[in-house]
This record gives sequence, C-alpha cells and structure tokens, in this order.
Amino acid sequence: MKKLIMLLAAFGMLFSVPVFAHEDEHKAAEAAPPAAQTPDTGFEGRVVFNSQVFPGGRIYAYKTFEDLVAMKPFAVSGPTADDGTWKLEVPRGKYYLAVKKRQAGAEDGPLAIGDYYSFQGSNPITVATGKYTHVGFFLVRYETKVVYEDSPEAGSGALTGVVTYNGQPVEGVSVILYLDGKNDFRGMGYSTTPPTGKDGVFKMEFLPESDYFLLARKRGSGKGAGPLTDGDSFGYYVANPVTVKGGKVAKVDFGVISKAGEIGKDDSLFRDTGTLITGHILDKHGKPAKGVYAFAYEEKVMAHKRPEYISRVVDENGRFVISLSQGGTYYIGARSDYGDTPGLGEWYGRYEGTGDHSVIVKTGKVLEGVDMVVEQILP
Amino acid sequence: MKTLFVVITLVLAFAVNAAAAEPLFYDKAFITKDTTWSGTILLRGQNVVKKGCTLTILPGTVVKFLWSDEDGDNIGDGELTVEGLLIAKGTKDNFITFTSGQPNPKMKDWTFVQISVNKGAEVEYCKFEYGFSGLQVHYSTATIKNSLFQYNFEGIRFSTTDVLIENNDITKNYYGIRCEAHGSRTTLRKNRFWDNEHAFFPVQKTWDSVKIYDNNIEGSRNYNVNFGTNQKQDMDFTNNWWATTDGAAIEATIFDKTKDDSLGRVKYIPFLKEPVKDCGIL
Repeated sequence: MKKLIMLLAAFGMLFSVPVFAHEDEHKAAEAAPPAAQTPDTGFEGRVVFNSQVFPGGRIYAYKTFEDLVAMKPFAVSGPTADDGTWKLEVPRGKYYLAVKKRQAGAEDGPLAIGDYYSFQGSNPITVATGKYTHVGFFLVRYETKVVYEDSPEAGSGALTGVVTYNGQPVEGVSVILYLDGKNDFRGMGYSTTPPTGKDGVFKMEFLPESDYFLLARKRGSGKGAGPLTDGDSFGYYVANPVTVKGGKVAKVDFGVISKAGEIGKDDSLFRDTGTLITGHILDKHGKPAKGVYAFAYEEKVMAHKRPEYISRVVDENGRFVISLSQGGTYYIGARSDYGDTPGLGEWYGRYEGTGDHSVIVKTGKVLEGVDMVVEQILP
Repeated sequence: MKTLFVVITLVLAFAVNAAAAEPLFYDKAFITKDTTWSGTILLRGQNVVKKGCTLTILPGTVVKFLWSDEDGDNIGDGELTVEGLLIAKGTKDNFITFTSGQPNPKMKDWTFVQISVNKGAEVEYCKFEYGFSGLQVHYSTATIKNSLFQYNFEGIRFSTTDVLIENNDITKNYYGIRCEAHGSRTTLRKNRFWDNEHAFFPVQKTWDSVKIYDNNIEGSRNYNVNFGTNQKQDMDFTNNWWATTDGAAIEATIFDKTKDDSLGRVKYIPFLKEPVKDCGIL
C-alpha cells in the first residue's frame, strides 16, 4: 500500500495546483528579534510595605525558578534606599525577582518569622536592552508558620487559611495550587478554590500528599478570567512551597497585595520574552477590530480550559502581541471576552492560515503576520 | 515535503476515484475550496473545511473514519470540522452515513463531525454512528432534521448556536443531547429519544432560551434528563411525552434540584398525555 501511495504521489507531481494543504502549513513569516546588548541594562524600582516606602530590603535576581527555590541568586542588589528605591545591573536576559529583608542578614536564605518577602508577580521578567526596566514590589511580612492539625481523612490532606490584605480578610480571592513553577504559574494550576467570602477563608480538601505553591488572585472586575489589572490582587505565599500531609489540615495565613499599578509597568502575561507571536485582528470589512485580544493554546482543542497565553487588547491598528515562555506549536484565536465558552454577540475568530489554527514559533524568534478576522457570534 | 506528499496523494486519489470510483481518502486534510462528496469517503485524523468553503455531501454518500489514536485517549482521531458551510442532505430512501471504518465498530471509534461558525448549515437524512459525538454544533446557525444518531457517546453536542433540531431519532447513545447553551436559541422538537443512557445532559449555563417541546422522551437507561454539576439554571421541558402520565414516574427519570439542591430545576409540568404522532424521522 505504501508503494502504491508513493507511486501515486510521484505521478501527482505533474500537478502544480495543490488542492489541499497539510495542517502544518502556515502563512506567517518569522523574523529574528533584535539581539544587541548594551551597557546600563538592568532593573530599578521601589519597594513598599503597608503603603509605606520600605528601606533595607534587597532584590534577588535568579536565572531560573529552581534557583529561586534553592536560594541561589545570580545577583543581589544593595539595600533599598530610604525612599524604597533600588537599582540592580544585570546582563540582558530573563530573571525571576524577589525581595527579602531577613533578620539573619543580606545573604539569601530561608525566611524566619518577622522577615519580609515579595515574589514578583511578573516573573520571569526580561531586561529591556540598554535601559533599566521598572519593577515595583509590595512586601508581605512572614507572620506565622504553617500549622498542621489532625484531619478525619487519613488518606489525603487538606489546606485552609485566611487571605488578608494589610491584616484584614479579603473577599473574592481565589487561591490556586501549583505543583511547580515550570509554567510560571500561568493557567489553572492543580486546583483552584472558589472565591473567598467576607471572612477571607479558603479551603481545599482531598489533596494528595505533595509540596504545593500557593498563589492568590482577585479580579476587581468580578470576572473569573483574564489578565490582572488595576484593582485586582495578587499573592505568592511567603513560605512557598507548602507541604500537604496525609491525615492533616495545613493552616496558612496568606497575605496578598493590591495590584493597582504596584506590580510594575510589565504584566506577567505581557512582558517581552523575546518569543513572540504578532499580527493584526480585523473585522470582516478589513478594519481593525476593537476590544479584542489574541490567545494561544498549547493543545489543539481550544476549549474547556483557559488559554496558556493571551495578548493585551489590540491597539488602534488591530495589532496584538502574544508573549510566550518558549517556542513550539500554538493554536491561535481571538475573542472579546475572557473565560467560558464564547457567548452570543461576542467577537470571535481563529487563525485561518492552517486547518487546525496552529502556528510554529521558535524560541527567541518573533512570528509575524498571524492575522485574524473576528465576527460576532449570532448577533 | 510531508505537506507536498499529502497534497499530491490527495490529488491523485481524486483523479483515481474519478476513473475507477475508488473511495476518496483524506488524511489530516485542509480543504480550501468548495467540494462535493459522493460515494465512499475515507477520513483519517482531523480534516477541516476552511472558512468560506462549502462542503456538499450528496445522498448515499458513506463517510468512514479510519482508526488512529495519536494522543492515546482511546478515542479515534477521525474528525470532520466544517468551518465554512456544511450541506449534507440525503433523502428518505438514500441516507448519508457517517460511521466507523473499523470491522467491528464501537462507540468512540471517531471524534465528531463538527459544524463551527457556519451560517445556515443543513443536515438532513443523515446517520451518525460510533462517534464520540455524532455531531457537534458551535457558534452556528443550522438545521438538523430527519437524521439518526445511534451508538455515539454523545448524539448531538451544541453550545452557542441557533439550531433547529427536528424529527430526529436519537437512540443507544450514552448522552443523546449534551449542551452548554450560553443563551443559545436552539429548538428541539418532534425528536424521538429512546434507549440512551441519558437522553439530555445539560452540562452548564443552559436555560429556557433553549426550547424543548413536542418530543417523545422515552426509556432512558439511567436518566431522561441529567443535570451536570454546574447546571444551576432551570430549564423548560414542558409539553413533552415521557412515556407515562404519572408525574412521579417522570420525576424519577430526572436528576435536578429535587435530587441535588445545588442544581437548577427541570420544569416538566404540563406534560403531554400521549405520544407525539409525527415524532422522529418522517
């Protein structure tokens, strides 16, 4: 049979007009990103605690999340100034940033009760070439250790606690568990709690024994999905990872920060990683679409879960940029709302250059020309 | 090179078919022009009809999905997704068939026929069998009439759609209808349901924008209506025939708020006192 197909294929080379195209074809073209390195490259910013500038903290820059967990920094800043400002010169690259103020001293190390900490919500952050990238930090104080209490469920563990902001319970925050940081805490994670009530309490039961990284997100818009914006909250548990033990309830106090421009000018979803997909989103008349954004899935089925990556809402020319952690095959679409199945009247479209809407982008490259047309669903 | 090989193979397959009526074979094809199918069509993997293109399937056509399972989920990868326009109109005496290519076919041998972002798709006198979903409809307007859905995991799945589902026979599926309608204006009427595990499975966010009336909903092996754990809204199932005039017996076949307080309620009163006579395929 294979011989027959090859014979037919050879004969078919006489035909010059392709009738069908295979799924891995796409129109988009790749362009190399700018690669120059210049001096005066690094980070700068301000550290704040309880709405007050915070002197004496140090910014630790790690090359990988694993280095952060292992407390092996690539570079460490001097202490933040009296006005909380700081500057850290590093070569061009991608870094995970955290702030610590340890009573034990300037060297990196584990936190003790009373120390201060902040994990940058935009991690990892790429240093912009030839300038200092602004990064803001809001600190949380490490108040209490994890407490373990007996649970009636001997075969699994549970996790509970109170989400607070400046010491007060926070309503509407979802706590998300991740098994590791390999996707930079994007996506849905291992498990997500319903939004907290007025008491700020969250709880997860029937968890397998493991170490979990706890993150917290609150969206002021009330929507369950979409990028964090001003008015939203973000938290990275100060003593991550938390060990969940079988037959025990792990109790944690989880302080979060208010987003509101505090996380810096880059957002975790939109920072320039150097691996980008760009294009334009137009309406069926060829005019730039408004109020839509592009999304990228790592799997072919673009449903049943949130996309791994999204762009900001398009600019006035309909242009979007999706910033990726790494190259690979991605399935691309565009829409006007976040989360859930697209509903009546929503603007929606997919990349039509391939049958399965996929593009292939290489790590460190910019894939341009991924243009899409959106239409309203059953207006 | 791989692409060229596939293209050439398909072109040749078409040419050979014209001469000898051999089955057309599509392997992960991206169909980029208006196309008409007749005879026997063999599909493997995901096959897509591009936006803007019409696929017309003539009466008597048999579409067979060949087995492959690249992702190892025990569901055949065979798929036909129409993102342009699907016109599949058989006749009462000459159905169009979508089925398994396996010698001993079974449920989930292929993935689905999918109507996605169509305007005015037409499915009539078609038979869908042994799929994961016989037919999925998303973000589309369509009519699905006089068709048979059997031995699928899901007979028909729909989400945000304006679809008329009328005079179909839906039987021996695990779920007859699976939906999360999101305000969909879909109408189901004059359909006959029997011997499904569950006739209706509203997963979530389906409410009375979906009209369901004048159907014969009979003899599901488990529940006639089984609300998913996130189906919090009430649904209107009034004026259907449930194979009994005993309200308690009808309620026993419905899994809703009466059995789980967190769910929405199925409104089934008033119910019809006798079967709808012109239900199912006409």
